[in-house]
Amino acid sequence: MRTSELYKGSLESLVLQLIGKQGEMYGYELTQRAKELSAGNLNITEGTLYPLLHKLESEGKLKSVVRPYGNRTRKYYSLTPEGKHAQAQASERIQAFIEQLQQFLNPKLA
Amino acid sequence: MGRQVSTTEVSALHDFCVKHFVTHYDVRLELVDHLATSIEAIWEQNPNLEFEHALKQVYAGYGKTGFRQLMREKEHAVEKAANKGILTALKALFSWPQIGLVITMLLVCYFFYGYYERGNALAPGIFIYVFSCIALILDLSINVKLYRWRKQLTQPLLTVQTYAGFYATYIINYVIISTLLKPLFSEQNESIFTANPLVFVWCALCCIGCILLSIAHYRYAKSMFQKAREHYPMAFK
Repeated sequence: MRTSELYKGSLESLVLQLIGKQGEMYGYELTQRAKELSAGNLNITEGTLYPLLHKLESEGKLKSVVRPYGNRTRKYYSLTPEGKHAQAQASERIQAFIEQLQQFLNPKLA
Repeated sequence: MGRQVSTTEVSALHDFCVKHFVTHYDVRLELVDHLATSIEAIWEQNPNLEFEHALKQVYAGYGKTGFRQLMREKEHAVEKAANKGILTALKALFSWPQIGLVITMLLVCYFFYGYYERGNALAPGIFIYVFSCIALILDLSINVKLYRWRKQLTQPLLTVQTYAGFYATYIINYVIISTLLKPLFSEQNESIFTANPLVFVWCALCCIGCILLSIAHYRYAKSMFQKAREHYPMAFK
């Protein structure tokens, strides 16, 4: 199993974490930050990222603002209060999942 | 700061997207920025690389299907978001003070239902006829408004164009008027409507459903257009 596959189920939570930490992010920045933090293992394609961002926006977890950037326009995403709540919940879930994984990997320590 | 994508190159990116079937302005705007940023990242490593070559390199990253996968996923997400938005607008009608409208409509229907006990089916018949006409007029005026909003667009927007509107009222109105109520006003004054009060209940519930769905659709469409206007003022007249 490839490391990228391990990330698949947590993509939504990871995107919320990244935006929450940064405050405001745009699409390309998100893909690069994810790649950087995962040492190249998490490659979020545009076909996955933008529909996910749109979904989170329609769920009220993200809000977006379109601003001019040089000679083009850029769409920035940030967390709504509901998104911040979802981020906190996601963070707890991931933490609990990691602890459970530890039990599988190292039962003696647990 | 390294080499930046020029204004002419930004226009070329827009043309490139249109050529590759990304015609919707809202999708294109974000995609153009993504492509431009990717090209600038390539130029950081190789500043002398030609724009066309850098673009080819970036586009290759989208695989054999190009932007098709991105568009499909985006269309799917927009459709889902529209359904969710309408459902949210509908749910909002069942909270105070909007629920007053629902209760009023139910009470009026109940009042006319009472005529059956007195052996008079004509009054509820006329009521349903008027009620379904109100639902139809409401839906028609909403669709005219939607048409006017759409006319203000200078660029196609996926979020706006994916939304089809609400047309069920026309069908229900046709069924009620032509199939169920027409015989009521005929010479014999006999129809399924007089024979079975449950038909009245069915018709009344359909009309209430149509009115509520029309209002939910209107509210969703209004917020969708407002949001689109805020985000993409260039796409409007």
